Amino acid sequence: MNHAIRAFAVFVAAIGIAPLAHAQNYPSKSVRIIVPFAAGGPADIYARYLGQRLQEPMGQSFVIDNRPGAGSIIGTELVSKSPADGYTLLLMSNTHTINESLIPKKPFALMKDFAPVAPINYSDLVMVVHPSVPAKSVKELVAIAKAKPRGLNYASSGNGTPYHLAGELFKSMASVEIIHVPYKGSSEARTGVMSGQVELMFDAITTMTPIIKAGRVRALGTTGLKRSSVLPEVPTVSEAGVKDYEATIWLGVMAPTGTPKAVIDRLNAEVAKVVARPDVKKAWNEQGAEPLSMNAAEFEKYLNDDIAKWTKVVKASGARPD
Amino acid sequence: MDGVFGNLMLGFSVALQPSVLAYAFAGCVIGTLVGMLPGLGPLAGISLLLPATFGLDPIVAIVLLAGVYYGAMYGGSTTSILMRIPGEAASVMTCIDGYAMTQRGRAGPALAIAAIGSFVAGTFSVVALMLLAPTLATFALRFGPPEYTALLTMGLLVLSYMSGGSMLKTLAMATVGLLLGMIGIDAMSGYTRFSYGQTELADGIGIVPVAVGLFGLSEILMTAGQAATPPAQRPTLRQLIPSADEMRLSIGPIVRGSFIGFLIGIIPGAAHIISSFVSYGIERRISAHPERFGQGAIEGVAGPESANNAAATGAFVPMLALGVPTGPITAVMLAAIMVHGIAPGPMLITEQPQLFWGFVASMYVGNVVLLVLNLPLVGLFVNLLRIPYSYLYPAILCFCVLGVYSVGNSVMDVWIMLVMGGIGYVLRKFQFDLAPVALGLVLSPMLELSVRQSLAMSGGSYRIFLERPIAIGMFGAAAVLILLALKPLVFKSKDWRSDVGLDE
Repeated sequence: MNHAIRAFAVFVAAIGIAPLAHAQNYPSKSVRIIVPFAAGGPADIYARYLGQRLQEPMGQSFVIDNRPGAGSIIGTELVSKSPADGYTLLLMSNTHTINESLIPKKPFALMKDFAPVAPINYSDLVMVVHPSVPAKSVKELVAIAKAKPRGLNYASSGNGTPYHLAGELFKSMASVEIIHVPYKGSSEARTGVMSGQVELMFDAITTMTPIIKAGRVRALGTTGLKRSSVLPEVPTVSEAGVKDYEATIWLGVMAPTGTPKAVIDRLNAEVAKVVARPDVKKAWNEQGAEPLSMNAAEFEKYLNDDIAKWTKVVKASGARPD
Repeated sequence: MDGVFGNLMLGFSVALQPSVLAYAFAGCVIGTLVGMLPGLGPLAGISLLLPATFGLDPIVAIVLLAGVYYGAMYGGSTTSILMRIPGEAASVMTCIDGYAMTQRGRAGPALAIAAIGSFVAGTFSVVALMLLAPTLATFALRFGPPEYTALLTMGLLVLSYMSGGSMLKTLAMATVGLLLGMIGIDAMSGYTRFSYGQTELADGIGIVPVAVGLFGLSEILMTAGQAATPPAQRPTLRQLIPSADEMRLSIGPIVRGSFIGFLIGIIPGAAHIISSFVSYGIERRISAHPERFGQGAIEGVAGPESANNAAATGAFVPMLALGVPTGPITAVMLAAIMVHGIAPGPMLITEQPQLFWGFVASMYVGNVVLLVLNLPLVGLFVNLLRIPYSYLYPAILCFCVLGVYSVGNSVMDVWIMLVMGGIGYVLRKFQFDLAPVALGLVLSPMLELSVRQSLAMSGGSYRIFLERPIAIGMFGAAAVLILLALKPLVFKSKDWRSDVGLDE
């Protein structure tokens, strides 16, 4: 009996010490980054890029595990139920901050069940129209849309995606009525605009650039606050008439709530080092992505602001399904 | 024409480099294995392999992935024919007559014809791709949601020719399939339908677990339910080679399958699955002996197998000519070259001639590799049937569970497969055909989305379907199909159903 109590006491003590010990030698085994998006997509490719470059300084491999489905909810839920020891991380994007307001009934709450670790990068989108649309600039497009409300359609890769919300944000900031036509994936949506089935869309800048250069679609504006390095001749939507418009796609890392602070700080510092490397910046710029660096507290504020921003857009658009 | 020849020479000079050749071969072998593993289809195979290609040369990467793609289309037929388990979704139709042939001891010819048909269709499509890619791609772009709606409506009508049983039962099964296809997030509004709080059901029910369950598991259960264990087969060499009759009957279906498959393949969307359904429906419709279908008609293997391989190549047309992927598979392949800084677009053919023509040439090579690889293996595969069922079936069951799980790392998919196996068993006991369920499940999400996209584009007006020439043409063809199907009712003339006592 005595033995049992003593053993129990040791056990309890061990549990108490465990997180601390973990934090000191972290990582002592391979780390799994769950990517709740399909293999081959931009999120997956950047996650692999980051994972490879974290391996050397941290001395352990970072394994990418793709768990796509239900607009990122399946993979995200998996991380929320994983132990908060720093060995299971979530690759996330503004799909997650949008989902907070778009899909209130989820098996997790982003800011409650996850701790911010670090942002990775952001990519501008580009607003394109089919050449048959007479508008040569954002202002002209807004004029056309105002002259004939609900006369124009915009394509997106699906309901609730950042591409869809970029369109909704544009509608609410420019006060125009444009109809949303969702497709089943960005490639189908892109085909729809190239062929003129749908008049305009917001799409990833890298995939659109060759199509713009071939004259199949016309670029009206990029969606960052600064001009994009990929399409420097194209103005931003903000400078072209819809002031302060900004809709990028950004990526970040989060960990389950309760992950030791020392682990989070270590990860934040290592991610920041990778992101700051000149070769990384150069490679990402070619893909249209700009490195993003913040400490964990700044990232938390960034996330909260982003959630608030999309909540407003979702409310204004009536896109919320429930 | 000279230009094409010169370019092709350039292409072969790339494709026949030992390293490229080795990767093409490796891709074909991996693809064949991926296709054979139940559940694991080309998309899963390519996605799993994609990260491994990041360190490779772009041309090598795309040759490897393309090899996996059409290798999987070849390999998918093997388990369909031998064990009634669709290796991937496009070989669902092959299960029906392919497996019936196996039961009659003609597994060898079925496999051989599937390989030959795939080869002919693959080669035909590469030639068409090479000569017509830019023209066809422009045609493919005219396919918007209204045209897609018309195409899918025609696909639904194929149903009426697909089943050998009573029309009432066929339509009931199709309805089950269409309803299953409604499960999941509604693409237009974002509402989740019929998921009962299960997050895993939000993306809908996949065709793969359903097909493996309905066709494969139900077959295992049926065998287990028999009073006496059927004896394992002992195929002789003579049974491996298609007879002159079987060859003769296959020519037409292969040619038609190649043509239909290629045309459907170039249309954006997940059309390659439909191509095999359409081919089967057409072969049955024009056959002089439609009652043989379902009982082991070689045409029912030759047509769909050719069609799905031709569609696989057709899908490359818009991808290469315009840089737009037609579906998830080509999208992943584009990602493989994009990580190397090559941005695919309408200028790809002129800016990257080595890549384009090397790829085209590698497809010729790949088709030959697959034929050489698969024909001798027919003997080996057929000998799997020598394994007594008491060992064979548990092993297959394991592979089914593994394969279906590995597609999406989802236990839910395994449950769906198991439940569908049980349902399939019961339905077959009551003589229901299962192929209409699969077709309904494939068609309903696509049909619903394209109808609603069309209506969103037109602001709710149905006139959009009548303002587009291609859509009108296809709706017209659909109307003719309906009239043909109604003719026996009106004129009381006998169609084949009454000949075999199925008139209802």
